[in-house]
Amino acid sequence: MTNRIAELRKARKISQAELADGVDVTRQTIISLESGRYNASLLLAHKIARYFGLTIEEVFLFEEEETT
Amino acid sequence: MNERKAKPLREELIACITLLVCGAGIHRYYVPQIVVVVLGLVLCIWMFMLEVTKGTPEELDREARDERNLMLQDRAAWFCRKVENVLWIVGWIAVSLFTELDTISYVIYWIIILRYWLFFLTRWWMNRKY
Repeated sequence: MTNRIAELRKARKISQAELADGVDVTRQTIISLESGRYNASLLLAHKIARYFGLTIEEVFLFEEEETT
Repeated sequence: MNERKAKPLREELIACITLLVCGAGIHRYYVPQIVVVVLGLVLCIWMFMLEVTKGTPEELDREARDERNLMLQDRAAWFCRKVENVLWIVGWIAVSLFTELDTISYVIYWIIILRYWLFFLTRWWMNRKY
């Protein structure tokens, strides 16, 4: 799974700390999400999508061949 | 602006180093003294960390609820359990076969039994809950 968090955040001139505050996680979690080392839970994905005013599918990109 | 921040990883590292330092000097003390020294050090560290993280309750709360932190804790705990299982079983075999410390062998065996039962019962309870 890939995501557009960094792209959306930069387009809106939001810092990682501000996004972390907005979705109630640590900045380290945002860093890991942006680098693709960590996949968000459904709840966090929903919070992030809502923060940007988008749907989950618009922020998180699922790839068909993924099994987990 | 308060720059002091709660960092679980740093706190765990400090606790690990303290235990290591205590362990390195342990042969110099009698057992009751070891208990007093270790408990004293743990208390000092706890008070120090309380002071360091003073004024950051929201951040502490967030650190505790953060899903990535929880995932890391779960994975670390699972890995440690597997390593501990191996160490207990190897220790029990070594004590049973290569020493005459029967009491210690029985104690280790019961610790192994209790660990497995505790794990099984916890999973059973969680299976019902979730």
